[in-house]
Amino acid sequence: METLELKEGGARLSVERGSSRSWLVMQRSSGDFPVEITVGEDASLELAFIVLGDVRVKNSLTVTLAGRGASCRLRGLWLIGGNADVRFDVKMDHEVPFCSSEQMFKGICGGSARSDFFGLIKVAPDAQKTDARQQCHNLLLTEEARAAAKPQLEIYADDVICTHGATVGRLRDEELFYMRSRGISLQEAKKIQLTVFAAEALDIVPEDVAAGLQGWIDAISLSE
Amino acid sequence: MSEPLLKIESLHASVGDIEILKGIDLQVKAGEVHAIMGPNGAGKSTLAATLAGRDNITVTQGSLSFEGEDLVPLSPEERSWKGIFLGFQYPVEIPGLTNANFMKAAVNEHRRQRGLGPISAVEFLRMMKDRMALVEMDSSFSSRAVNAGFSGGEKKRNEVFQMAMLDPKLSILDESDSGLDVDALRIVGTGVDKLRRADNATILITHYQRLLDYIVPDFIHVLYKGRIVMTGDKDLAREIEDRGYDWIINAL
Repeated sequence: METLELKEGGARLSVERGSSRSWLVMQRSSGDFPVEITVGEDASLELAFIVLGDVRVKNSLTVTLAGRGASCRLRGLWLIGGNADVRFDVKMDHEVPFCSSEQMFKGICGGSARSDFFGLIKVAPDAQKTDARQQCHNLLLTEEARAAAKPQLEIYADDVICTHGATVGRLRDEELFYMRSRGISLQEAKKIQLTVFAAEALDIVPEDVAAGLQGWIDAISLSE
Repeated sequence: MSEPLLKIESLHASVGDIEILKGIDLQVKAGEVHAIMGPNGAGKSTLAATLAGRDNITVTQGSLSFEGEDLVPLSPEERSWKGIFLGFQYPVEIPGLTNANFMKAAVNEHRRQRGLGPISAVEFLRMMKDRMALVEMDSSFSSRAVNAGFSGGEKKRNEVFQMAMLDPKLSILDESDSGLDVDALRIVGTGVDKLRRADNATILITHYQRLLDYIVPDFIHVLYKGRIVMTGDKDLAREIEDRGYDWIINAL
């Protein structure tokens, strides 16, 4: 997985026919980042966003699956606090048949942070046999934190699989009590719950990068 | 050894504004097994949760002490460190957390409280293997997520497994026999019985006589409307099985 440095003002990238690219975008400072990526025939794209801290970030991402057999795995994780404001506008464009896309976004908001996720999956009339999946789940750690997740499907083909799921929730008391009754402290139980929650958005990320996030998770678990 | 491990005196406890426990008196000594029976809604699960420190329950009157120490101000984890274990009626699923990591976290916290460093990988594996055998769990169990997708029987066996891992002084098993087929009941029953020692104690909350065939209790208490209304020996369970609770309730 290569690190991709996004610059304000926008980026246009492509994954050429038959090739595969895997990019990691780490975001620790504010900005407005429009990105357009085209994926060619039998090409595959892996892209993971990790947004950390007290930042104002807007990611506008369009992925166009432009050649038959193209595939995309998209991940996003935000661990934000303070007055952070993180917005994802994701458009997954299935233009041709036999393409697949799979998206997993996870957000943890502490402090007075807020996140907005808007995810559109568009399947063109010609794009039969599309397999498109999208999940966005959020955990709020404080009364002040906010999150919104709005999935949208526009499907013009009839032989496709499209699924989506979106949730906004809090740490589960039942789980916390269960862990505490086994002697795991409240603080440790929260960390475990957050780590497990975040892990699903880190499956394509190198282990050392994922391990490096533990400090952020531990810090945000103190959010009250 | 005659000092009780657990001493409950005139305990009243509420969930929200509703008083559920209305004056419980109970003493449990090391080496004893107590069964608590009673009709639905009597307060059995509330009593179990109160002992474990569930935060939606408020102790309003009376006292609760463990080895002479007041339990009421202690958090659930502090109670666990002191040696109290609650076997859940409905064990909680934690997707994404393996049984092995769950138990490693728990065992290491217990060790830390005793001033010990983290358990070695070798010792932990040996311990897992040994305790899994007690409840007839196969080796895939340790890498499965905690209770996620477990059958009812597997969940209850997992509770007994966790009990064995933590080696508590006092175990409160809340309907460990509910929802079990005969094989799972045998595994749970014999598993708990094997953990019985002169220096630990068990409170079994149950609706049925059948669990008590495996773990013969020293005392049986009948809980009704938040009070213990009758205490007897093991034969009381059989009588309840035959006659129900009406004869006890009607005599009050």
